[in-house]
Amino acid sequence: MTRGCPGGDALWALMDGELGGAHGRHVREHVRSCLACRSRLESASRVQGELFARPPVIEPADFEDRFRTRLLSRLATSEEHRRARGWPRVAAVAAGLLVAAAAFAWTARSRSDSGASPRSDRHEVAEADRRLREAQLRVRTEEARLALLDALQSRESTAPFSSETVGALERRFAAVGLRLENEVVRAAESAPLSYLGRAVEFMGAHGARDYTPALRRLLSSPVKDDPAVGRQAFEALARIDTGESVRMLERAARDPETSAPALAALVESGSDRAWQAVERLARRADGTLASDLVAAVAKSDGETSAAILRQLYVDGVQSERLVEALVARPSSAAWARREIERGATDGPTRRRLIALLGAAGDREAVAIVARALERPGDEEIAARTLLAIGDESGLLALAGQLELESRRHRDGAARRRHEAARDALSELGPREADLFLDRAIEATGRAGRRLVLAAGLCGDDGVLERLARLVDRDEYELEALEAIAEIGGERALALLTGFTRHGDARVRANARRHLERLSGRPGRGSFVAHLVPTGGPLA
Amino acid sequence: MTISRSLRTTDENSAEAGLRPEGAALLDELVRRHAREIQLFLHKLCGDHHHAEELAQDVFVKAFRNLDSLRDLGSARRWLFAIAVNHFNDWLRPRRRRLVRPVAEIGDFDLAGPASDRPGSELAARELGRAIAEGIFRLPDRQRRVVLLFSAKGFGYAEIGDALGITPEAAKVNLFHAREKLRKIADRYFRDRRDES
Repeated sequence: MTRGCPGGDALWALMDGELGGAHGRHVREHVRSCLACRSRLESASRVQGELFARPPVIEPADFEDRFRTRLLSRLATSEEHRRARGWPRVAAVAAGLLVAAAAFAWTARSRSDSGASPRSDRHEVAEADRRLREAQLRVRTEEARLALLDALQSRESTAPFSSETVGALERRFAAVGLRLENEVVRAAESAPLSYLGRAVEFMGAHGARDYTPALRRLLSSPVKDDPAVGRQAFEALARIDTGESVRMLERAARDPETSAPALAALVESGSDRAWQAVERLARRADGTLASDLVAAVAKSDGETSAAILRQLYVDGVQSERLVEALVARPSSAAWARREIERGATDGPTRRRLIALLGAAGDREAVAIVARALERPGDEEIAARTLLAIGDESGLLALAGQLELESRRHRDGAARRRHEAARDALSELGPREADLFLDRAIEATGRAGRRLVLAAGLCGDDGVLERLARLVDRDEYELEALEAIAEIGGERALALLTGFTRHGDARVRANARRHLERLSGRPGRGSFVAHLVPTGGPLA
Repeated sequence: MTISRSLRTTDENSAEAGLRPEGAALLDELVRRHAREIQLFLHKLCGDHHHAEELAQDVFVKAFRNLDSLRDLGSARRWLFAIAVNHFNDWLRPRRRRLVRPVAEIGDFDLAGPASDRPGSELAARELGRAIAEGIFRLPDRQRRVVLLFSAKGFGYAEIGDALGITPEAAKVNLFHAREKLRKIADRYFRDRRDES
């Protein structure tokens, strides 16, 4: 190759027949006279020959038939494979159109090849291509719909829809002039229940307002009876969080069939609009709605949920869960104290508030509850509340309501207080009895005497000796004897029998009175019930 | 959505009976016009009848699956060949190392033996053909696709570029470099033959 030799591109252009004109003539003349270039051209020619060579293979005459048969089998197999993966059969129509258009276009082109008039050929080919494009658009549409169904049917059915998935589907539908939300609605309405839930979940994940009408349709159809679908539909509505979607949830919450999931969705949503709906529902709640409200709201923290629970409590909703939920909120006790002290509540409400203080074990409430002991109608709940709180001052307040047996019937209100306190104190044990006696020894007067009575209500044999010593303390003698009698049993009877021989006539008389009353009554914590049989010491 | 699914009706036991009539017509037409040419082309590329048949079937299955990428039916041949070249390239990639001999062996083109004494013989032509085929396998990916499409005939620079998603200029440059490499292989073959004789 010399400086004047043409470049490789010129040689290949010559080989391809693309080199014409003066330049072509010049190159051809040069190649004829240049050995190196002739050699290059010969090599190029061999390469070109190899490239365009056909393999020495003779296919049989029925090649096309066999090829076609095998191809159909392959297509059928791959179709079965796809079916096995769970693809739904929804795209056949558009594909049929595509094939029809393609066949039409093919025919038109074939006719064009065979020499029909050029103008009608052009028209037919253009028409065929137009139909093909239309069909292709439909195919892409169906492809996108299948992708959506595929996503809804995904094996990772527990995974939430990612924004990438939603975005990709959105773009696919946008490319064919459709809106994703409409397509999800379409899928949800025509899909079997097995993945309807996913469609609804998708609506929730996407959070577009446009799903509300679709969800309304779904919720008015039998599909809502499927618990999972119903729940997901409500969750989707709650995520959508528009006036309309929340109203739908509110209506569903008033239906006993759907109140639980609807309320759960509203509460989980946590939006202002949803809480307002829950508050409206709580105003006149009873029965199923009330218990479902408690169940749903109890799961949520925050002042709004606390206020709703309080409302339900004040309205008289009977539910252990409600009490537990209120007790779990530290602010509940303070609220109950405020309400009681404000005095604006009626009797039943006040008593519920007092009971709540007891459930909460609110020691700060002892004074308030102790005052409630004085209020007619509240004695019993107040006594039980003081007992439940368990604070010493509350127990002392309870003891303060006790009266000697001989004085009990003078005042109806005092009697009721005594009965309430007595019932409550009877549930205490010897430890509290010792406490009462300690305080009685420190105290004097009426307060001390009532503490001695309280010790009798909750004491056992262990405090009898201490009580016996108090009989000799003038101011406590009557209460101590009554307390011994209250404890009862073998030792108490023996003590009382001993006191029948006491130097003080009043002690002797009271001891006898108690022995008479106790005759035949088993003692507390004792199996001996007949120590003083009829005609025994008393005789 | 796939054309195969669209072509099916209710009879799943018979693939052919399951085709819609218009689908069967299109299938017949494409197979009748292009299957033989596609399979021969692939036979030339892979050098094996069995593989060529498999590859050609794959090409048509792929074609049916991607029918919506067919812009118009007038371009069906070029479209099928583009699928064939791409599919062959994918098929070749994991096998290239086995098909292409080490560089050290290339010098003598395996021409030792009686046949190599007759440069013009059929066997010698096959040796050159094999050397060029190996040269094609050894080409960079894009150059190989370009030259293979070119070898299918009917592909100008614009059509090659269109099929491979590159500009006609890039197709021209790639084709030039590919053919120059192949020409040098042929040059060396002839030089070696002359030296031997």
